[in-house]
Amino acid sequence: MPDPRQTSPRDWSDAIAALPPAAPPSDSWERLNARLPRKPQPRRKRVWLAIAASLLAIAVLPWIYMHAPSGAIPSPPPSAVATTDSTNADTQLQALHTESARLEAVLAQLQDDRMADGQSMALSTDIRAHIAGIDTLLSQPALDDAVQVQLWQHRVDALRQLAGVEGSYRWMAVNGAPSSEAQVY
Amino acid sequence: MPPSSRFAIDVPRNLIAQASNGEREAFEQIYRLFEKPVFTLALRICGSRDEADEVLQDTMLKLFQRMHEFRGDSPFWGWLRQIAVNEALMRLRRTRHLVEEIAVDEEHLPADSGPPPHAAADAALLQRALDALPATTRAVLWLYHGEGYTHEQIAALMQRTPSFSKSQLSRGTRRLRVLLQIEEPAHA
Repeated sequence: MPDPRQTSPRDWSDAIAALPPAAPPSDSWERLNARLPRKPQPRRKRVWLAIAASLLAIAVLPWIYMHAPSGAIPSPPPSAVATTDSTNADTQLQALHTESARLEAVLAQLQDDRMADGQSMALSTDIRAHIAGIDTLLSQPALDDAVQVQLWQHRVDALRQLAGVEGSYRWMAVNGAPSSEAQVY
Repeated sequence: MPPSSRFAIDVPRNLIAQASNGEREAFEQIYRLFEKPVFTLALRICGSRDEADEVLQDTMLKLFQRMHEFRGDSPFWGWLRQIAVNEALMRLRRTRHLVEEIAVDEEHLPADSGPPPHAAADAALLQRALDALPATTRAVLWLYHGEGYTHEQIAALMQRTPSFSKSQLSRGTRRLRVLLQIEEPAHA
């Protein structure tokens, strides 16, 4: 029953504007915060870290093999070492090549420029730049097998990260809103 | 005079810049400023706390993703409100509630220009009456009377004509009068 002491609203806008605001559930921010992506590192830092890690792999691994104390690295007969190491490296490289090709096929399916937003594009661009840096290193002639394995592993890891970023955004885009919005104020 | 929006909150430029750079604390401050306006708008349009909660989450997630797109040539609150309205209406479309509207014939209906009944001063009564309206009609009423959108703007948002918006508004206020159990004023 309306209180007769209450003043009648002047118009419907007054009446509706007088409705009290509604409070969302108390844990709304916590739930949203859990869904927000982690703050990415600054672009330059990410790319240089990736390149530095790759260069370090090339620079340090041979040094380690040259300077390891006697016995630190088992020394089977040279022929056996060569065969075993070469076989292992070949097997690992084949597996890494296969995985790399599979991930590239997945990425080709995921890529859709219509759905890209600025932040996701920036992150994707950075990861692709990292992969391009690895590819440049892989193109160096006469790379040691162990170094090749390291670099291909880095490549696979980066492709997985890229698939995660582009897959997540595509899922949100498919389950969310169209990208354009009428500017109406 | 158009109603003032609950969204009309000035946000400091540096806060917007910090949030655009991905600073979580700055974004949380923006979230805190607008969580009630967004939730309230979503609740009035969708009619359900659960759906309003999802609209709030989706709106703020989208805002976080697109903070860097804000150019500063219009009020931030208006830009954010637009995202919220689109999310709420899209949810209605997805759940097919947007087809629920008061059927109107093609005749021009006279505008309901009389003052609202005294019962409209009672927030609980008015809220109950609004909840009883079909979703589309309630959405038009809220966007027009609650947020100050014009019929042309409402038509663009709902992909209908301005005539449709006017008809729904007129029918909606008439229905509110009935629901509030007050007789309509006589037309001049």
